[in-house]
Amino acid sequence: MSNMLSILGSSLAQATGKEEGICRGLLRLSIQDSVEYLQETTDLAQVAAHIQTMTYQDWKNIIEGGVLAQRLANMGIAEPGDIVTGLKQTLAEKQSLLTMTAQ
Amino acid sequence: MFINLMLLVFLIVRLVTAVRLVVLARRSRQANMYWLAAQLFAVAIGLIFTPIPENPLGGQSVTNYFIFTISIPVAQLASILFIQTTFYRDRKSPLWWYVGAFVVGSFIALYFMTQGEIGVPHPLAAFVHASTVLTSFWQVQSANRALADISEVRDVEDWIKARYRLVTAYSICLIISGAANFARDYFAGGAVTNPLGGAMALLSLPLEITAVVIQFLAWVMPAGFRKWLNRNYQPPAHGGAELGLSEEKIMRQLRS
Repeated sequence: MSNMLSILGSSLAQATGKEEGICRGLLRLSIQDSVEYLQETTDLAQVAAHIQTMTYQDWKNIIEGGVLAQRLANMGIAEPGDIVTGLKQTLAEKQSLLTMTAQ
Repeated sequence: MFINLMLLVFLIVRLVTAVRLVVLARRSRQANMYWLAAQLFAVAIGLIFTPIPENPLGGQSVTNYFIFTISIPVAQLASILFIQTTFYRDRKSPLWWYVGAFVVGSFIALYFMTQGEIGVPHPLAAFVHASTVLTSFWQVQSANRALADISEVRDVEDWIKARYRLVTAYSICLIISGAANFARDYFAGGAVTNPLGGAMALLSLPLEITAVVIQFLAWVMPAGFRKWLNRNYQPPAHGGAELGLSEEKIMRQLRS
């Protein structure tokens, strides 16, 4: 599993009080919705492979994009902006992982 | 003969590491790794023209000496950019302090390199090593802080955490060897024949060899070495269970 997905899922779980696995699923769905060629796929391995190649900017786009905020709003979170800010901070703090995991 | 052989080994290891970094950068789409590759390529070019009597390309012409001279600050600048783009995007960063120190140090060093004779540097040309010390110090600080942030995260495999430690280790070697090179150039005029210069050369040479080897292990990381680093790693239990959850299930659980 992608380290960044795991870490951001954990951060999202802390902010929302939901299970980590569910939060990772939410992020994965947001990625699928934001990437055109993944929107129709049911091949989870293909999604996982895409996530492994995501750069810092790709993650930032997902976090800042409207899809994640909309899903958070659908969950009943009144201020998804705070959660998005928290996720951006986590991404910035852990950004070196994207380089250190390269193989 | 021995020195030339050592330069050749240094050169090959640096080039292998640099090429591997280019491959990693392309494969993982991490553009910041090109800066680290650029640093190693610059160091490798500098090695070809190292101005020592044994090296046939070392200081035989002003052009060769110029290439050697300019390769050092180019490598340091690439190193600064690697650190910034690996650890400090969208974060508060001391970048401009390091760039300022680099510019001042390089300006002094390059100016005084042209004032001395080839192979007999002006003492103030030693400032080129001061930049290496500073840049490596920043790398140690950044890698350590980043490692502290993820050291308790069980999803991050041991070989990844080890890579942070290896970056720290080779940077420490470069700090000490840089300081020794500074002392040799500043106090002993770059000579190895007097006691201080000889002692500093004896200190810096093994450290530079160690740094090259650790850098190779960190970035080329042969499969067997990675496996050995990961020998005690136990992945957390969550596995891929949530992979099978449908959108409907995830949204239902999120609302509950």
